[in-house]
Amino acid sequence: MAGTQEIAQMAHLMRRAGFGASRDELERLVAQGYEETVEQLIDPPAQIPRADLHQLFRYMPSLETGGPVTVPGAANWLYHLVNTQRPLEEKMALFWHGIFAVGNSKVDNDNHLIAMVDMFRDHGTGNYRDLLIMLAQSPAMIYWLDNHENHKRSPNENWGRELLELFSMGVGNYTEKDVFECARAFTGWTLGPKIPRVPNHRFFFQFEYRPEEHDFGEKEFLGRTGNFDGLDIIDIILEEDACPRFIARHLYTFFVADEPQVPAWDIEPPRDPKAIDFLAGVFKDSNYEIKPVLRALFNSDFFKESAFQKVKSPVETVVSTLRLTEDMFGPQPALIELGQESAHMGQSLHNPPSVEGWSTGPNWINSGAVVGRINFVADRVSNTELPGVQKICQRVAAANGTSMTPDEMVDHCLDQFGPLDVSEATRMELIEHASEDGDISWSEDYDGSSERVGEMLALIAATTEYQFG
Amino acid sequence: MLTTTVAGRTWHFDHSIGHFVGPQGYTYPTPIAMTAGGTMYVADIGLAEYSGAGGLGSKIYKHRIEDEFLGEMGVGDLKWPEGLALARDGSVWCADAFHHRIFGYDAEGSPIGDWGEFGDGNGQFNRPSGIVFDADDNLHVVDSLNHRVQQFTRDGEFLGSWGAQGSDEGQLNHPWGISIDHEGALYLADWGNDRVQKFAPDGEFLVRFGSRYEDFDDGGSLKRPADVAVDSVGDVYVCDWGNRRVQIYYPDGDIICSLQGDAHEFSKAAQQVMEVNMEYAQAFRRVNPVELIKFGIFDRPRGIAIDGQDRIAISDGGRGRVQVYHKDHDYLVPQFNA
Repeated sequence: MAGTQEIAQMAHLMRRAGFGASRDELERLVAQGYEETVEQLIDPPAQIPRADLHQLFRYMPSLETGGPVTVPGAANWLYHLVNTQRPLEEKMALFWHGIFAVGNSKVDNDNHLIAMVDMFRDHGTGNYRDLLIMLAQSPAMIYWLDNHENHKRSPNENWGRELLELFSMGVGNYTEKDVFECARAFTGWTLGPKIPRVPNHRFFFQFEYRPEEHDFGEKEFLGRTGNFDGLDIIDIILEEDACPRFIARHLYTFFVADEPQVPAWDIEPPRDPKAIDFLAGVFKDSNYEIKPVLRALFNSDFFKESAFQKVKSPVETVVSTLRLTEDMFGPQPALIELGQESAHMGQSLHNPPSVEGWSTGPNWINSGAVVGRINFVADRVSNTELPGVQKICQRVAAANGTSMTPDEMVDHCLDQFGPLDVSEATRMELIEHASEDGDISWSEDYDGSSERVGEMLALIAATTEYQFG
Repeated sequence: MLTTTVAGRTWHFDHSIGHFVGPQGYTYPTPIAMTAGGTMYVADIGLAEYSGAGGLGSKIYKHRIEDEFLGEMGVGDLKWPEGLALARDGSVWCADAFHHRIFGYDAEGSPIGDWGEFGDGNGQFNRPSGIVFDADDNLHVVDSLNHRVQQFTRDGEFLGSWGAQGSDEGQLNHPWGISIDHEGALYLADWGNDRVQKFAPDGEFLVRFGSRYEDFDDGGSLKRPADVAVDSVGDVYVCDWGNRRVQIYYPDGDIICSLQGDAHEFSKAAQQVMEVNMEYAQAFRRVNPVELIKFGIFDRPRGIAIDGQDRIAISDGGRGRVQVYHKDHDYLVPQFNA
């Protein structure tokens, strides 16, 4: 059997690079080895499947294309998140969705948000340059940042500014002149008119390059001069040291430990500058391939030592719970309501609050959201009819003979529900509650004992410690 | 009128019916059943899973194939209508995959019974899908997640079953639609195996439709086929759901041709919608004619039925409409091309 430390480290990896794992899975992965598991997450073999979309669209066709609201699209993504066996692909899709933040509140064509997330899923661990080019030509992004209104005679700076400020380098690494010249280089990158949604449902916009709209004049950008177009601009950005550092800090924030929000990055230094230097170096040396920097990150000491230093995002909270309870695999009508749960906690998929994405870390916690988080998790993990909860109960029951004391039950629950480290004060509170009904006897009352375990899991879900991942 | 002429056969596109969401519209039309005289029943999966869906829940529409709306049924009963069949007395039967149950209605839509429950025992279902009545008025039910076909009397008395999960000849993987020919042979859309299989009434394998060659593409491949129908001379039509087209095969399994969808003009109902939505009509005029071709093609063709005159109704699931073709047996092309 795997040691406690190994299980804890594997659980940390699977929380961060995925959405948690059952104890059975953790033990299998520990036997497989940490580095091999990292490899499998980053570069999963072809036989490890994504979620089966054909199954979903057969029974729930409305989830294939979105509309003016994000409800179908969020359910579509939740299906991926819960059913995939390639969790890092989904984690990276979430990562890029938070950086290249596009909202259907403006786009109003959620099929394009679905397509954009598909792009992140397909290419999110590929090459960053490729991703930037696809992003610049993505109909959702073009519409979101008004590049269809970026004309030779009247440049619109919205896309050009955010490309520099939020998608590649960050404030302080370019001038207003660079923003304007960047916008000029992307003139003519636009959308063709599409067939309207009335009367026969949604059709897709297509990227269209219109040379008559493009400014072919000379431009000065980041100290270079030439007749640059959008591709040249992206290549120049990639030559700047600020670019790999910017993405490295995002990776650190998303996978390692909470950092200040992006607008503060030009005044707040990283909490671990050496880690950022290391990741940025790997990223640039690999010619902006994303897999090498992920490999370096997950195998680093600073990652391994970062357990429970991040507040779980609402999506992580919802998805890890649904994967744990194991009752939402396959097409399920409940996905439609459940797809909105993270929105109730402050993270509406396909609808980030602005182009800056979500405010993360401690900002996920407020008086409304924390109640929503706790209630959602507690409701589900206390339901001992759900297959995943039954498995936890079986493991707790098998841990210590046919009976156990309240403190033993608390420790086994903390172990099986994580394993989760809690303060001694928290542990004593949990034991105090468990002691109200005395010792547990699995042999005399299995169902009643299971309910006590479910109740304890719900209480653990309400602890401060459980909000960290 | 658009025609497809291959091998002495001609398919004319006639018209489309309905539009996406709203009066006289569909949401996601699924299986179709049709009388010999052209009265169509079209199931629609609707948006019942969404709160506030109102009248957009799952139901069955009754139409004349010439595009005359006759009524609806099943409102409130159905959630995932996966199969439709007409009994000898004209009653309408629907397999609901969510409820694991068969619902029956008379021709006017009044409920006349429902039966079935979840499970893998005899007479139980796990996502029942395509259904069809045979000449004895017994119902063959595709029991999709149990990978088998079960037979029942019209009132739900279990008669027998055959089929097993697998990819070998005669085995099934998440089968979907089903049809029957005048000799009683059964055709199954073997969804997970990307093929259609023809069986004798007792389940003996007879013919395979779909990709039959590993080293070259004869154009006959299928990707997640949804439904199947047979015309008066035995040509076999398959809703190639994953490839968004309809494949037509000779009875022996060789491919004849594909229909890609030809509804380039608005249906009668869609025309009415556009007349009161002038901004969309204007938006249509801005679209590049090359791009506009996409308007007519199938998006997830889901159900197919053929009447006694070889009029072919195809539910165009993702586009919220039904496309109607007819097959012409005596059409002479050359005289008009002189």
